[in-house]
Amino acid sequence: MVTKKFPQRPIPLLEQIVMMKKHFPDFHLQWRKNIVTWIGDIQPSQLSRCYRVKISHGLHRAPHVYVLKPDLADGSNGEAIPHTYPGKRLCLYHPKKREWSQQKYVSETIVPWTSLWLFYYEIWQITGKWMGGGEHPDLKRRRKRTLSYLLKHFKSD
Amino acid sequence: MVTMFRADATFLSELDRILEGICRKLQLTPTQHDLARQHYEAVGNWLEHEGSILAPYHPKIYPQGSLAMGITNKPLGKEEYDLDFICELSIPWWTISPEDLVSKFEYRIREHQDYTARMERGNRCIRLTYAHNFHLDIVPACSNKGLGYGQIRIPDKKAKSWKDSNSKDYIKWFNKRARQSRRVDSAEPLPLQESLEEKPALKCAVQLFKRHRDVAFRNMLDLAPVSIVLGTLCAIHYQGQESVGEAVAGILNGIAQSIAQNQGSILLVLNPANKVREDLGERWKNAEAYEKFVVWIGEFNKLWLELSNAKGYPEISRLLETLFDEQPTRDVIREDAVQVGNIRGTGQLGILPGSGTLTSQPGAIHIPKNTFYGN
Repeated sequence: MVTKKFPQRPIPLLEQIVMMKKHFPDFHLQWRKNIVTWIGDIQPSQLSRCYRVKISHGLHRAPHVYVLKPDLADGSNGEAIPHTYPGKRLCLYHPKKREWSQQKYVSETIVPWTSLWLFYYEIWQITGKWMGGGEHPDLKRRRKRTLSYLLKHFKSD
Repeated sequence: MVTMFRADATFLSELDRILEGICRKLQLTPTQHDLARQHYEAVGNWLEHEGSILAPYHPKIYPQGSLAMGITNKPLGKEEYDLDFICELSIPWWTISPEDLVSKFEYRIREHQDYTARMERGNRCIRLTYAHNFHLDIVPACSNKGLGYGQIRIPDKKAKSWKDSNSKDYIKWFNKRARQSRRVDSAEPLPLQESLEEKPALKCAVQLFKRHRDVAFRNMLDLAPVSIVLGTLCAIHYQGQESVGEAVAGILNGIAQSIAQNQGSILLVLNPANKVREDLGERWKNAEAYEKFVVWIGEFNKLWLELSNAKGYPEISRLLETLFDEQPTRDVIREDAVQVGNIRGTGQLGILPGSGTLTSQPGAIHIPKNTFYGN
């Protein structure tokens, strides 16, 4: 017998709120229209700073994470902070790899990734190297472009 | 001047881990250690070998100074370690001049082809340089057991006269001071290498004092406080703290207090183990050197206080780089990042509920796989 696979239902916002309350009871909650916003403190390690972060989440878009304080700073030579979208929004996962989906809990994905991001951010500030792995979309595109240019060039020769 | 170290125990133990990491970066590697041991034992055998002109004097070669105490530091900006040894000979000191003793010693060393190529003669010592970034400085000495265990006479800096010394008793005294803490210490008289887990806090503290001295006095080497003075002051003022951070804070506090109590006159640092009065602080006869030392202790204390209140890796790193230079600091911090990556790789990395702090403890919120994205 062939069973048809139904897509799992998205986790309702209320359920997200309950789980967040359970794991991070000190996080402050705002629920407006269809967007839930949590504000709370994360300290990635005993030697790391404590960061106040804002996580907003709705059923029709991916969660957004910002650091409210201290301000995220560029590198010592003015390098831009790695793995961020414009407006210093943190890029925590690959959108096409289904690492995040509406079937997952924010408190068990987005929050741990934020902590990890903040840990590597501090190390990056010191060493200038992002040691947490990941991908840079532009770089990949640029590499592809270079490759196609080379191929074209090679063919025409 | 009172240094209050932040009471937060978890911060302190993490900071200690970093400080111990810096000490590990500074000291000889276990391979270098084994090689050094093999080399000096080989030299010892050569000296007492049949036919050696030194054989009748029963030469005994043993490490002294930082090597014997397990607190060897890599010199700043260099890769090569100085390893100091004594070669004790049963020659009555009044029967030979210091210069002749060094020459006699040199003569025997030169009889060995391999050593001739590696050898350099200093005023009072013979230096043998080896691959793997170290050289052995061997000072020949006359036993002076009449004065007590371990008493020797060594040529003075210019090998013009004799100087009383007692390296063995000094090490015994130092190790006894180090064992005040409950941390385990090996009772070996020559602990060539201790793993840091069992390295007493005092020993780490001395390494850190010496390293900061190297950094702070890098442009005025002739005014820098000498190692034995720093080691002795540290051992005197150490009060058994188990934490390296607290040990350094306590020692700084103790030194600052005795400077203040001395009301401007120069601090007297005597060798606690020598049966003959030996003023270790000879360099401070130069008033400028002592002034610089006093200023340095004050600044060190200030930096240490800042460190105890530092927030975040970048600030901690900035302070540690000021204290101990960039390389050992960044190497240790990079290791932290690598370690987190390794735990993450095994799937055992999680965060603590509440604070979101990364941990490998069971019961934590597991961190699922992710790929940091974006520019």
